[in-house]
Amino acid sequence: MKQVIRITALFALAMIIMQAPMAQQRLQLNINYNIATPIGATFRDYINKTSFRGAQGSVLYGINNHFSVGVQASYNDFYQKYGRQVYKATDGSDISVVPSNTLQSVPVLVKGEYSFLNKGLVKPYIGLGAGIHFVDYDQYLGEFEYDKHFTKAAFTGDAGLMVPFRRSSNYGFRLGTSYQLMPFKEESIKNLDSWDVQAGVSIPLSK
Amino acid sequence: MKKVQFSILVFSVALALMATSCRKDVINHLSNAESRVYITKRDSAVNFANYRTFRIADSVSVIEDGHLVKHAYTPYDSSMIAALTQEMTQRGYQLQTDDAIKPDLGIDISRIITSYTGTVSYDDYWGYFGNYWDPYYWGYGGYGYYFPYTFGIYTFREGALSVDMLDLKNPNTGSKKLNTIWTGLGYGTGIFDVANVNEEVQALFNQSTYVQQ
Repeated sequence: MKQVIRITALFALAMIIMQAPMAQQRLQLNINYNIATPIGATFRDYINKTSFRGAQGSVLYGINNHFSVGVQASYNDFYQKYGRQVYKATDGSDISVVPSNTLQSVPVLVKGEYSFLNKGLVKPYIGLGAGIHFVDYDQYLGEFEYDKHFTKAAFTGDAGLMVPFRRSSNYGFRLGTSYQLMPFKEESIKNLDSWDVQAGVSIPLSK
Repeated sequence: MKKVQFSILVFSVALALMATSCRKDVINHLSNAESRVYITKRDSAVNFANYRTFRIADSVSVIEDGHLVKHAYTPYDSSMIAALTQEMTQRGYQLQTDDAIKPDLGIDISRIITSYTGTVSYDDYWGYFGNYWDPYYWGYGGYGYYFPYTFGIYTFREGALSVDMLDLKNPNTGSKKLNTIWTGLGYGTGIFDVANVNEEVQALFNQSTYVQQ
């Protein structure tokens, strides 16, 4: 529930403040399904499975026909269960558990995007973003939970295509890929970098 | 403009709810067996090959909220005693059936139950161990117990199984204490289910390969 409130408050507040003085014609809403694959040895030691439980949303304001800036928020749930293992505890005892490792990643970023073409059947774009990364680290040993929350920095770089539904339309299909650079340095995990793929729709918030 | 602001707010809430509801339910993806945790601890100075015979207490202590409620012999308790007997025998130890002869090792079993969901300090449990298992039972009236190790604080939902192995061969006559040389703890869903007894005993002893005659 706290994550819901955080995402909603930050994203909505940023958008409402940002778009208030600006023209609505250039405001674009993007909603995507997001798949994320852990990158980096220490993250993959914790979880190496790709997350298929994710979403991404952004609202971008067109400064001109090529550049847009705005806010982007993402969510991915990583999960992996391992077979029963015996660990040696620091007090000398042996502990046999079935570990289940989970991690929820919520980066909220200020983002800039450059569209190479403002007309055409296919409009390629690239983007860069920086912001805050909310992390819910949740490890289960059997049924017993160890849960910690972290707030770190987040950076992203992405590239993709926007395919308008019609030649003159600002509605369209989006397909992209991104690299999430997420410094972490907690719980023996150096970073939470991931390679993401997004697919979704782009909706103009114009009259 | 208000329409856009409202649309953005609705979108933000929808995105947040949609995203955060797509979370793997870890507990529902665990079988009862996978939910259980087993912890063992030993006196590292002890060579278990130096012991030859053993006996297991003929009943199980039931401890609720830190108090001994009774000594019981339910189907679970009798199955646990039988399974431990078999395991020790397979490891080369001889069951001592003659009450007149003290075995080298004594084994006590306890079921620890809490009526609340919270933490239990095992230091407290072993602090009262003499109240649960009077050493008189093992022929050492007036003795106490000595634990060379301690456990921490654990949280469990149903209860915990505790198996304690006592050194009856080398009682400390100076301090009048019986040394506990091995403890096995098990807790999690279904820990007191008769059907799980063999799995529990196997798990505790699979990580205790040093317990071998």
